[in-house]
Amino acid sequence: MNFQMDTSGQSGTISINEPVTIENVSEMKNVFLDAYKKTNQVNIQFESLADIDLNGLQLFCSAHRTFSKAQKILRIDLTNAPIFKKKAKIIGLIRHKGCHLEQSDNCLWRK
Amino acid sequence: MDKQQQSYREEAYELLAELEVSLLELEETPDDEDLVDQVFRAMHTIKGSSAMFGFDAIAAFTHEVETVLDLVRSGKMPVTKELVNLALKSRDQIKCMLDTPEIKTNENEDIIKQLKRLSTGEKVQEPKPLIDLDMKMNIEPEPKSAPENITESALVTETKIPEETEIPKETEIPEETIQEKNDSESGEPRAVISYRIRFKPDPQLLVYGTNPFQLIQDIEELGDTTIVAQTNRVPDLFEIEPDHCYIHWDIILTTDQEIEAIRDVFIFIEDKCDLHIEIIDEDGEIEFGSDYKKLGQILIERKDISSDLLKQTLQKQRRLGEILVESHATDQGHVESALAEQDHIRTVREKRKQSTTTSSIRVDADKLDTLVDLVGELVTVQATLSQKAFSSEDTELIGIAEQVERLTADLRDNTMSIRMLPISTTFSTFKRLVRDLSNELGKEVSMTTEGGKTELDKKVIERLNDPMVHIIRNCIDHGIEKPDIREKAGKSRTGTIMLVAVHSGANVLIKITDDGGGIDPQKVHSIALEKGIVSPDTELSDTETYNLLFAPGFSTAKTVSDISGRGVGMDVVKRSIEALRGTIEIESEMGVGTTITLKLPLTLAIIDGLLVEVGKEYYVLPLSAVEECVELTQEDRVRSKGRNIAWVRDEIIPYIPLRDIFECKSEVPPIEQVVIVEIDGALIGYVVDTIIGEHQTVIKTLGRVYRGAKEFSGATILADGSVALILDVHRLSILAETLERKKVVN
Repeated sequence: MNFQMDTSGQSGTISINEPVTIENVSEMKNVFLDAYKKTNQVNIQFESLADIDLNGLQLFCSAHRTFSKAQKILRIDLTNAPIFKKKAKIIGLIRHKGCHLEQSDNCLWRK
Repeated sequence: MDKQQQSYREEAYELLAELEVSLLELEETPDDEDLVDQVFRAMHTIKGSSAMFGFDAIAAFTHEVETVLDLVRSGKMPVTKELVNLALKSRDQIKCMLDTPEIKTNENEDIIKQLKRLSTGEKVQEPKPLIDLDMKMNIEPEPKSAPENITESALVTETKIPEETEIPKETEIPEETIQEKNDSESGEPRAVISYRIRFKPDPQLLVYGTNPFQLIQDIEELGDTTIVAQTNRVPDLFEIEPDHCYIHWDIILTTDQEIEAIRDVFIFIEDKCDLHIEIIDEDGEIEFGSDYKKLGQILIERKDISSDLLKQTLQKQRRLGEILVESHATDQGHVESALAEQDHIRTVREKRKQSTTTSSIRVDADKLDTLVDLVGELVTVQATLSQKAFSSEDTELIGIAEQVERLTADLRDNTMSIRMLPISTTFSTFKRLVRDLSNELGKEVSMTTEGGKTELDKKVIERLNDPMVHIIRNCIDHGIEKPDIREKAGKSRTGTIMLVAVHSGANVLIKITDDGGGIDPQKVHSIALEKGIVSPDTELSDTETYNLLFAPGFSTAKTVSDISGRGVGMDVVKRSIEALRGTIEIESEMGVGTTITLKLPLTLAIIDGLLVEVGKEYYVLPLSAVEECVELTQEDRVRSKGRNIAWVRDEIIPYIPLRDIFECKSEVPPIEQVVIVEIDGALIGYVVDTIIGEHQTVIKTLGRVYRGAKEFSGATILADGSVALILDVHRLSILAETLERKKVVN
């Protein structure tokens, strides 16, 4: 996984091509923080996502919340990661409304 | 009346019972469109079938009621307390017309006039709209009456909020898991229970290698689940320890498994998590349609919000969930979880209702009674067969007799179980009683029930109704205080009557508890003195004092009311319970409340008895009353100097020689037996010649000739064809006392 600023310099993209699990969530956190510091708009692009565990889902929740609080944008393209929502649903994360910490009204777990 | 008309009446009575329940529920949740539909459908069905079977007066009357209900259904008329009152009155009137079709009254016209006035906006009394049709949410209709402990009626439901009611689409509860499953070992149906599970893992849970997905899967295997993960503790990126677990879960599980099975799922991490499991719904409890607790009530129960906060919030008259989240009182996840629970249980109850409808058949009660009688005869013949077979020493015949014995026992148990009904069938009728009576007396009373699934013989349930009505009336009239008095005493304005049924061996205990003022033993004692029921020098324990309430003519009420206080009630209640071979006990604490416990046999058709012999005749004593048996020798008689007392472990037990009562002339055996039984807390002995042993007895009613002999509660036929009379130990003790008194007088 890596983060790269886009050519426009206005946004950046995190590309993920490996499972997001307890084994690499610390590394993932650093990538998020790096992106957070460098730009106000981050796009997450999954080339593929073989698996994601609770730590992974939790980290995405935290990242989304952090960006929203700072009025920054974190866009996640789940086209190549159907397992993301599937796992979120199994573990009971999918909901009708976001939490009150969610400022942008686009909670990651909304239906 | 032909068979079809009889069938119509049975169906109509059932519909009226359902209608009553739905109306009472509608009063509490006036915005529930499903309930309005249910009420309308019941009325519509009664109207249609009444016309079809020639009950034209009922059809015409029901048509008028239905017309008004249609206005409610189409949203042109609000559900008001007055409307519910009139609908209940109409329901009672239809029942009256079914009971006595030949009697004509003006009551129909009066009710129709009132309904028409109501539908045209001309109010008979100041209307109290239970909901405002213009409002987009439900609000507490009378905030001033909201008690400290918020009642169900004071809480909102969010069924009209589109985005929060999308959940039902997601909640799919397969029908087969809602139906009662059979325990393959015992063959007994297992109760389907809904549990609320709150699972808060230790932050280190994931580091230890626990896989929460596996835990969730294990829980899902137990039954139907609604799972809501709570994310409110997930910190932002700067603070998060990525390998820690910040999420906790609220799970609603509907299953036929015991609570231990749920705990087993968490067994390896029980010291690494905070786990709370509680039952929130159980088969057989009183329930009304598929409705379930309101959102606010669930949040209070879970201690996510306080009742005060709810009250304040309700006054803002906005969506409860939205307000709570916006004011940061609770997290959206908690609201989401409570709504999911509400929906889960509604779905469970709806499915259960459907499955009950389809999995039963209607059988004439007389046919069941005949079946029970026939099985009773079969048991007697089988016992004769077994006796003959064993005395013949024919091994082939003995084998057949043993097989017949086994089959007969199974047949008997199964037949008896058919007649068993859950006590919730009678509990539900008391809800209306409590509502009407508390309104009449200006009191606020709610009724709760537990153990509604507990089963009792149909005949016991039928005969239990009147005594229970009397007891509940007493609770409301004498026990529960007026709201302002309760408030002054530091209690909630609303009093509670709790009905609890539990199994206790071959008996069922029914406890009726109120949280009223309790019974003052000194007051009871002084009234008993005044009425000459006790003498001034009599010292009584509290229990003995409370038993004075059962004395004929006793009344503590200063005035005679329509409700109770005529002093003719509790002795009749006691006699009715004793006629069911049951007992009644009172416990009370001043200022706290009173509990009346009824102990009843599971069935009236069979009795576990002790078979005894007195002067070559056989008798049966109910085993449930027997405490112990001791020998009575000639030396014992000498020691007691001719008095009828036995010394048992230094305790004096008075006894009644049954030989004397039955005037037996045959020779007295050198060693007799004293069967000690407990009557109203006192021990009394019955002296018999011989104790044969335990005997499960099929009770036969006594013929006309013996009807006057109240000391016998029935008879049974023994294996050799001889008859044994079943003794009513209580009445026998009264007879002995009377005979003794006569002897002293003479």
